[in-house]
Amino acid sequence: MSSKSQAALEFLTTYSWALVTIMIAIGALYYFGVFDFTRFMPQECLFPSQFECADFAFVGAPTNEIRFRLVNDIGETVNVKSFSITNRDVSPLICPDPVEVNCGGVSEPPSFDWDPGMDCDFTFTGCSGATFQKKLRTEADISMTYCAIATLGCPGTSNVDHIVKGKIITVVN
Amino acid sequence: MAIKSQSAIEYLLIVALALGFIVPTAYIFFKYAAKSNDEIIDSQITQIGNTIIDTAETVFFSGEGAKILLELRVPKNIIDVDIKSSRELIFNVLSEAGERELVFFSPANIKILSDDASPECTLSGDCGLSGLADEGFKKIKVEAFFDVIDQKTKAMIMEVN
Repeated sequence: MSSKSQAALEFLTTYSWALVTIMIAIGALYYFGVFDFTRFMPQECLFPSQFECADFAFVGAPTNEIRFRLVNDIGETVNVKSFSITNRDVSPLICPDPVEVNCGGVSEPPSFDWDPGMDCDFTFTGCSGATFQKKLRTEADISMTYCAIATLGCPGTSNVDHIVKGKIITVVN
Repeated sequence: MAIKSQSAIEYLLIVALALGFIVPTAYIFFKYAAKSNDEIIDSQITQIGNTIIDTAETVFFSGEGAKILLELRVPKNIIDVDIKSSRELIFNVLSEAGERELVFFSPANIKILSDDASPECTLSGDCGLSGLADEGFKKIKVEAFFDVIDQKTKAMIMEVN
């Protein structure tokens, strides 16, 4: 019994440096985010090809922004009437401030005419929600209401309105 | 007994490790597959919509009585198809992001209608074209006709059996 415990103790003392090295290495890898598997999950911006999503980012505190760039590929000038943003969390995503729109370097009001081929940047600020936290993966369901300028009744009435639904899934930076 | 329990634990560890790789990989694969499926359907509907509008334009300029028969393969996930205000061909499609609309516009001077006999279609140009929503091979006739009420040439889109 005594020789067995001596052998076990000798084993531990001989190889403890190796165990410590491995533990430090694992700790370092964890610190640098190697085991952060959310990086390997798809980060995507799903909009129909008529409003192609060219870029997107979720920015955490202090600004708490959701930014994305859409291109008007529908082939018509459209009047964008409104946006809404939410998700399916228990405490859903809310962005209370009006959307900021910038098309080709020109700032536009939330309701504006969007020429074909033009790309516009949309920024929602002051966003909050259960999963809208730095380093967390979250999603945003975005709806845009628009009508085609050349269609009779646009933008005055709502019966020629269309809704584009998109979804952005990414990590808040 | 000790050897048996050791091998059982080793077995469990290997299975757990394998599952730890397989489950996330399968999840990621299905997410990418769903996105790819949406893009394919989107592309197919865009092709169908543009083909119908281009054909309507062709028959309109060819004059009253001109007709073209289109043979189209309609993809799945289309919920409904309709025409609004005699110029917007709308496909309601089910996608990963929920129900969405793909809209195709005819030039402002070219009115399009379907063979829907409802008053909304004849009066305001809001016509149903639900036959185009079912998945599969479809024959669509696009024909120019003279509307005696409006005194204008229009393009009629209808499914042919």
